[in-house]
Amino acid sequence: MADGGPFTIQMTTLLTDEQLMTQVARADSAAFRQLAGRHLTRAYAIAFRLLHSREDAEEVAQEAISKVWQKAAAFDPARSAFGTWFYRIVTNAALDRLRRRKTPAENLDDHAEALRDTAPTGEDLRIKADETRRIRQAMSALPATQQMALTLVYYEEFSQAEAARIMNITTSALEALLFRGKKGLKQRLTP
Amino acid sequence: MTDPLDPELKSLLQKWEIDPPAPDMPARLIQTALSHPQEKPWHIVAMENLRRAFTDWQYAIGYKLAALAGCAALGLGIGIAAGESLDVAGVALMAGLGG
Repeated sequence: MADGGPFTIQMTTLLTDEQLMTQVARADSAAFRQLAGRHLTRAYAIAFRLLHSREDAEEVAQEAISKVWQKAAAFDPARSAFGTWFYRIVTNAALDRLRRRKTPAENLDDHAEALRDTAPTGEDLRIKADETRRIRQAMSALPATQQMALTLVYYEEFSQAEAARIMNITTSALEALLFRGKKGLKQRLTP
Repeated sequence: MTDPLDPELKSLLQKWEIDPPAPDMPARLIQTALSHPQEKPWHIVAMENLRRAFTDWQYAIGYKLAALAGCAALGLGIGIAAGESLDVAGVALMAGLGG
């Protein structure tokens, strides 16, 4: 963005994701940078909430954004919005990775340990770190699809219809996942 | 769509802040993605192959058309000449098939 003139900046910010994808399909790397810049942080956040690991979340984001570049010509805006297509790649990659893990609890414990070691010593921060760990453990105890539904709707603030499209399920199926997920969380989090 | 998440649970969930990505993550990921070749869908690849085949076929098209015309003229000429001289009854008689 910084190296383009004001005209370039104005033009690129006006373009929709779908318009940028048309340019990406023609191997326009500037359009790709613009598009990736809009979505990478959110992709990372979704993957992190499920995988609890910065490395794994980055790898998922990498896998998804590489697919966008490689398969840009296959994207059809008439079939789905770019966001639906992209975040479906992200969620599928994250869910696959989670299912492939042999011992997710072990990873979580490792991470919790690291958090304890690196957390600042202030009492408030320690309480915050403990709370974070508690929520993360409660989320991890849920089935992967429930975690994903909660992440998309309550953390990333997708509408339920959008989240259902991303997960390639019906809205009622998503509602059921959210209901069960919330119930599971409440059981684990409320005293 | 309604949001049936109760406020207490919602505020509790919001306390989970994720580890932020490394500052250079977007640039790094974009650079790696750009290092991959782009794939083309099969119908575009097929059209490109067809176009290339047609372009190749057009090479020396003048000579090819002249040769084709020559072959056609020769074939037609031979055919007409053979048609005029061919005497089916004579051939049959010579072969001893006649009564």
